[in-house]
Amino acid sequence: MHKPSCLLVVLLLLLSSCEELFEYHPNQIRLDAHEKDLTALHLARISTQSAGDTLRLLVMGDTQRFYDDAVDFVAKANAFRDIDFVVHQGDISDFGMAQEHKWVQDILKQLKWPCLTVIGNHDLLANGRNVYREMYGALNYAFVYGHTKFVFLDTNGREYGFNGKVPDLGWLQEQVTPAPGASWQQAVVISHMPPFSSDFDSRLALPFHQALQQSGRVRLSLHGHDHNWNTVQAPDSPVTYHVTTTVKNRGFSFLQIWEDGFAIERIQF
Amino acid sequence: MPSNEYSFDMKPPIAFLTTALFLQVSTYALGQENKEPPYHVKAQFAGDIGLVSVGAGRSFLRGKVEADLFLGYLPERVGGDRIVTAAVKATCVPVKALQVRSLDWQPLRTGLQAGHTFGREYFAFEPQDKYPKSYYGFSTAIHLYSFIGGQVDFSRTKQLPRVGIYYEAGSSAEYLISYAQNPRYLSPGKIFHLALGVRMKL
Repeated sequence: MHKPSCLLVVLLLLLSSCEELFEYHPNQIRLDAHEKDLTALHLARISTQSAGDTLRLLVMGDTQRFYDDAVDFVAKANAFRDIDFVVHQGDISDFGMAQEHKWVQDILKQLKWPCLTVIGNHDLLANGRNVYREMYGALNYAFVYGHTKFVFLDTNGREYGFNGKVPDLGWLQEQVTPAPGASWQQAVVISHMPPFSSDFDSRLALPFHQALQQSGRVRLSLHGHDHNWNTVQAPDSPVTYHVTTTVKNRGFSFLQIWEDGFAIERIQF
Repeated sequence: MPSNEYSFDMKPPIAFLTTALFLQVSTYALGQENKEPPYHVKAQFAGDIGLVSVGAGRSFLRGKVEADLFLGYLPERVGGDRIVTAAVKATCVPVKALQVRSLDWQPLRTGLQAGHTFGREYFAFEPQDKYPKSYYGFSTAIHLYSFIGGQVDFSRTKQLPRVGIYYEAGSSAEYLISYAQNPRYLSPGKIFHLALGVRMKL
């Protein structure tokens, strides 16, 4: 076979292996049915589980462009026993493109456990906000599981030009204030940007901390973004801020929560 | 909510300026070497600049190089978001066309494309009032794309002597970088996509 025909064969082989034959734009938002409303899907899965006295969570994050490491994370996570759910701390994508989320979800769907996400600053790039809404759902959401309420919210102030509205402290306060007769004993707040980051709206950092403190029910606030481990116990306060490293550094947190305490273990893989 | 605001009144896209300059300089530098009129128009399906796009351009060096300017449109119904893109595309044709019956087949065409996505949510350069210097280190409005493909020309037919159809497999720079860094999970089949087009000589 002469060279030009070889070229055609190579091209045809390449195209026949294409998972999607055409791509119209890198920022297109074309999702399959199983790639939509993932938060609701996983919450429905969690609601069928019965929460024990000690909740067991795996907390990971910042998968942006680190697909091979994410595959290894899934293998390690599946080796655990009796995990209630996995938390992705945000920066699911690097460029805010739907295709990146599709790849990450293709990897995370191999998890034995339900997996919830919170939006990161990279996920807000380009038309990423629309991608997140379509693929996962609301940017701020909360649910009660056993004795604990989990509150997920967007804290990526820099992406909003530090407009004083992100994080939505009114909503947060409402979520961490127990209504009379509330079944939950404590709340865990989950967001991408830690309040001590320069990318958090500095005017809202102290009010954020005060909202957690004044609730009297929050002992733990979980974050990502820094690509490094960090656990900060706020002085004169019951609130601990825990930052989980990125999958690229091949680490995640194993978190156990009981009614009046918690334990965090840093896992390497 | 998909955005429907596009800021066409912003500074002219870099893609247009670059092409205009390129076409201008090339015309002076190379002169017109081809007997045939060097100008052409194109219509394309897919290829990372919209569902459909239209382009105009010219060829240089006896057809060995083509430069085009495209305007592409992706409707929300198809793309999940309405996206308008302008692109400059340079194609290299290093191999002579082969005669297959009455058709001329260019077995190898390869090149680069820089697309500029319009819209307030995209930045060509990181806005200095929003981010510290080189915070992200990439542009969300400009997507580089490289491709490899071929073209079938009907030059020797009576019916369509000015028409050719081209095909290409292309990938954005973001995907290529991701593939280089994640060779286990990603694969050429995941990052390359097909684009089809028609070229008409003027």
